[in-house]
Amino acid sequence: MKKLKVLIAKDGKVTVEAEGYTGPSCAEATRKVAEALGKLDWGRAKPEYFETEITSQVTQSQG
Amino acid sequence: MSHIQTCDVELRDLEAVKTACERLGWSLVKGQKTFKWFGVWVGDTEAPRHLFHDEKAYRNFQAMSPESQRASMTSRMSWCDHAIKVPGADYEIGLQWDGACYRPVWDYYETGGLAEHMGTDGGKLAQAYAVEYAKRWAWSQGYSIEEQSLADGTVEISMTGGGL
Repeated sequence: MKKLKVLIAKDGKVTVEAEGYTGPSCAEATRKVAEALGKLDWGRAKPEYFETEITSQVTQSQG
Repeated sequence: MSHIQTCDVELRDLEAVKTACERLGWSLVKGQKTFKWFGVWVGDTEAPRHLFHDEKAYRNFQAMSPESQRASMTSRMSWCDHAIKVPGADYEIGLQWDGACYRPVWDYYETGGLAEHMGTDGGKLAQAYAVEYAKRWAWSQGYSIEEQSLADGTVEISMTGGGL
């Protein structure tokens, strides 16, 4: 299950972690939350980032 | 897990500031234009860096004579857009809008009583704001949330559902 975990330390420092994602979509998800909260510091990829994201292809047929 | 992003919280949403104050047992006074502090900057502590827009402005301040620093800081502390009252503290916290976010300003001289509540880095307010704003944001995006306090004082907000 996809989950975003926001950890807010006693000094107000925010860390956003994405769970259950593969590929670059996780960076987008964490960036969106962090951007809403404040000034982005830096982001780093976990190993799963480099895994290929499996996306489903939708084919639309004309009738 | 696959990605980590960190950020420094910015107090942009006044309603979330209000909720954060309530969470801490404090009260936001909207529209109060000055806040209670010692009244004159005596220069016995370092000037808060977050009051300066950038490193250059801070360095310029540091290069000033002690008299000019006193006048500059006294002027910087002479106004606010809103104020926060903390029960048990004589001094107040000012919120100054800088065009993008509210900068909290306070005097942590011990007789004012804010040191134990606000500390020197303002972390308590920043944390409460981030928790309340994260929840408001999550709800607005349709996420389900769970809040949990960890042993080291960190607050964890888990978001599921919504547009994930």
